[in-house]
Amino acid sequence: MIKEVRIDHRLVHGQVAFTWTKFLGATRIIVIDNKAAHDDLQKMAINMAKPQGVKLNIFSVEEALSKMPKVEKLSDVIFMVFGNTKDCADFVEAYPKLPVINYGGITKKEGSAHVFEVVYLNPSELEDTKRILQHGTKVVMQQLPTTKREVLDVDSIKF
Amino acid sequence: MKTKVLLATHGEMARGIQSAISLIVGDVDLDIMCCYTEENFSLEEASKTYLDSIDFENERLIVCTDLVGGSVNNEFFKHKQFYDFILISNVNLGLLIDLLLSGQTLEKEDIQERCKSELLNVHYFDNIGEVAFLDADL
Repeated sequence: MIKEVRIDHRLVHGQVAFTWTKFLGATRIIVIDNKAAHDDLQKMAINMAKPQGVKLNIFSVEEALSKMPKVEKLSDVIFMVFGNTKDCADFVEAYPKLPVINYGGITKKEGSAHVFEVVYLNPSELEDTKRILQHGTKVVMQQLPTTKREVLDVDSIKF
Repeated sequence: MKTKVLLATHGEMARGIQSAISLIVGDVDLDIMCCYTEENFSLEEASKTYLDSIDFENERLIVCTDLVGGSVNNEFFKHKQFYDFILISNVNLGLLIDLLLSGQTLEKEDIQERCKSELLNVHYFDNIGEVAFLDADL
């Protein structure tokens, strides 16, 4: 079952590979990121960051959507990681069954508003977020298991 | 039984590692001992004072040091005849994160096994050889 869904621009890194994976008891990490899925070097890097004993898949949004029927049947504890809001929103639109998404870290870009801790959203990312919310998926922000899980309030975001 | 972890190193290494850990793991209990950072520092005194402060009836202690053969590890090793604690040396960030995240539930033998984990060994990264070695299992 899918235990946690995270958007983290750093994909699989310390906090994700060690802390979150342990905390969730995850046995499989599914990375869904169009850029990474088409970049062999990045795939290798992500594979190296993978914790011991945990399975890893790296899919583009399209690939991931096609695999969902298989994923739903897995007995693994799954940790799903997106690299950005656009891929995530595109995915949610086609697969609106994810109850909640954790914005674990989205980097500041030109025109970004600071939302909370390590989450920055620019106007385009805000639109992606609205798309996600429209499909009934909740959005929260929690960097680490020990930090507070804050609900994202789109109306409070000013540029 | 609560597991306490002490990281004792030469200089400010322990404090540096603590800052790295707080980024990756967040809020976590870790005692540190930065040795020889002050002129009047006495390793013998500092280590004994720390060990005397531990309630060994109710707490289990893991002491992690930076360097096998270093004075910091040598000193704590001497203390092992009088105090019952686990001593691990040549520690790295990965091992510490592992201990801090799982330490409460691991038995002594498990900890020993974890110390041998390949994932935690020093890795020499060769040239970019073959590409994607992911199992396409889905």
